[in-house]
Amino acid sequence: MNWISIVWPMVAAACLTLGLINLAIGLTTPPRAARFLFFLSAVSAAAFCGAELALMRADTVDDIWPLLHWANVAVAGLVVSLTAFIWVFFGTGNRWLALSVPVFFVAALVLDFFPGPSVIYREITELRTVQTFGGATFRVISGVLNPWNALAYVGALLFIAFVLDASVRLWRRGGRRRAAIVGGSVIFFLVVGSVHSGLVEAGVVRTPYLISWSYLAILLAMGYKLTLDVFAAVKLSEQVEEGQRRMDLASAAASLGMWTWDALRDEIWATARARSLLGVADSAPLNLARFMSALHPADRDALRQSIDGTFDAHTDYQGELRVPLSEGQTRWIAARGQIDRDPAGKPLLMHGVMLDISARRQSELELQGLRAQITHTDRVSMMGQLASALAHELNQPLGAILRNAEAAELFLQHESPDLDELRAILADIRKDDQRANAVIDRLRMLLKRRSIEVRALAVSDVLGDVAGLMRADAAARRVKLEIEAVPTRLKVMGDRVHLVQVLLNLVLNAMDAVEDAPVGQRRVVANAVRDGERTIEMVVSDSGHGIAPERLALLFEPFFTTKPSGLGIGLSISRTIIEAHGGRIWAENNPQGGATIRFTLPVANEGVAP
Amino acid sequence: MQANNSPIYVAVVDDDETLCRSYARLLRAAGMQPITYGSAEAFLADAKHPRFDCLVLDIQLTGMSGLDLQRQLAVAGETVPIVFITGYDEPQARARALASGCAGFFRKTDSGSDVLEVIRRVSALSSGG
Repeated sequence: MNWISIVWPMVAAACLTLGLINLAIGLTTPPRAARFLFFLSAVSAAAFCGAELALMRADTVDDIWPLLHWANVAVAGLVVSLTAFIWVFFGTGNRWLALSVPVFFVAALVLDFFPGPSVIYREITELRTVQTFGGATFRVISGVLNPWNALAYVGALLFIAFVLDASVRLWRRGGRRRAAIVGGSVIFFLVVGSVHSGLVEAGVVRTPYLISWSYLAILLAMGYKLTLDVFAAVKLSEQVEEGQRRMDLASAAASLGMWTWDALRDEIWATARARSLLGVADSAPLNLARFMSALHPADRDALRQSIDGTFDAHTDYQGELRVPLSEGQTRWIAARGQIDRDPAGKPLLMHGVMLDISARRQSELELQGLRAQITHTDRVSMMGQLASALAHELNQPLGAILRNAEAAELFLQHESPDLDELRAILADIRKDDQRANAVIDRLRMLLKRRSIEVRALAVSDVLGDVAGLMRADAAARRVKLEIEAVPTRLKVMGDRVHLVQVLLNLVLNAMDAVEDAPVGQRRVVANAVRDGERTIEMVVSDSGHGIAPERLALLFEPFFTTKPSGLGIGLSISRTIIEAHGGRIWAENNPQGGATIRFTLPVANEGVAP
Repeated sequence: MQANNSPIYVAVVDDDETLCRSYARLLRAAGMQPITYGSAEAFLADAKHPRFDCLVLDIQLTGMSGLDLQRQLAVAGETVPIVFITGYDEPQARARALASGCAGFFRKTDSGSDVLEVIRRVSALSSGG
């Protein structure tokens, strides 16, 4: 058995195998073009390997010519595909060098067929049999060289220059490993293959062609590179797994539920924690409709709208959702989501986290309730301060009603009662009854416990309430209370009761401030003025002693008071109320003496004259 | 009922217009001649009023109070009987009014017949004396 006929097919098989492996990988994983081109070069190398073997075993000179054509076609295929491979795989090659390499080899190939008989030999003088170790024999060609054969060697030189240049550039750009391993092996192949082929053709050495053998260097290099890639991929997948484990740990520790919504297929993947937050069974498939049905009905439309908004606005989703539980309880969930889009910007996936915030919401609600209670307490205590004045305010109409009724009784005892007088009496009684009712309504409004409800509100109504409640007290304390008339079209966004409360606080404080002044100089003014397009400024000023400058800033702090009987919560409650309306409140001293408190409120859009 | 045929003139001073009007009606229904004033100052400014048999004064008035008016009249030597009415029932004001020697002190919601009775009594005394 001739070992040559065993070893050469093995080389061809190696070329084909690694070529096919690269093709298989290239079908699914980039760089696809590079892997396909490498596959072509490996197939060409295998084909050349076959030509080498056939040349060694040729029996007659006539057999040689077609085999040389075959070998030249394989070399041309190998060179062209390998050039393209380096061009694509390195991305740093010189264009003109890359184009010139195939030109020379293809020119040589054309001359190989036309005029023929071969671009290598003009004629073959001898076909000798050489014996080598192991008793194996092979043929060696002796002939007259065709001068055009030089084309292939010039092409090989250009190829070496191209790969060298591309490798150096790649090296400089940081692709050192690829430049050294792949570039080095290709240059080795080109130098060894072409020098050895030259020596064989010139008849200097008497061996078969070893081009396929030198191609093995490239196979080794690519195999090594592939192995490195596999190791890197394994490491990467370990890191991904580790990252996933860490994410699971972190989300479990933070009680985060995680979810992903495939918007195209309408499928939701959710962790067990996310499902339990929603109260959805572990096994049931989840989509947007099922997700929605787990929510409080009032939150469903809002969620749909914010998802649409997130899709359109290219922002992250963020929201709070309610999940109704049994026995009328509610679970509050904070959800956040991000959107993955295709290159055209179309949403593909939305993924995010959810967290149970029921406890936080609960304490927020409790705090809100507490605040409402304090605010209410403040109103009740103000009503206490105004009690005797309000009793007077009620006694006026009640007294008048009584006098009118008594007068009517007396008139009815006359022989001919004056009916016009009696009618006037009844009309007055009705009017006084309404007057008494208005006082009681105001009291009831202020004494009722309620939360802040903001709506468009005429400033004149608020000032009217304050005037109605304070008039009697101001008269009793001999304070001149001037509530300026403002146009009814001046409207703010506010809650009537709470704004009246703020003004009552301010007016009561102002009346306290003027207490020490002589009777004629006790003056408190309440007014409202437009401050630009969007703001109305409410003003309460007094003719008292003013406020010490170092106290101006502290005035609205809780429990800050200068009065022996004051709790010091009125102004801090006022600030809370005004800030809840989106306004601010501050104090200043008047240049002509006394102090002024100002606060701002947002203008209501409707009904405001331009 | 009356001691003589001349009518009993009563001044009502109260800054609450309907209260003034209702008092005037009651007095008129009882056969008296009421004249109403919105303030103490308006009362003092009226030079043409008849000789009053009795004054019905609200204590709490804008400007000069009922008690101030009483003091000023006393200083001027006026001895006309005065009945105070008030919306506030403050013990302090009541004590001061009674100490000043007024004929009566009533809350606005007290019975009108009691007020009429006092007016009749003091005017009979003044016209009779």
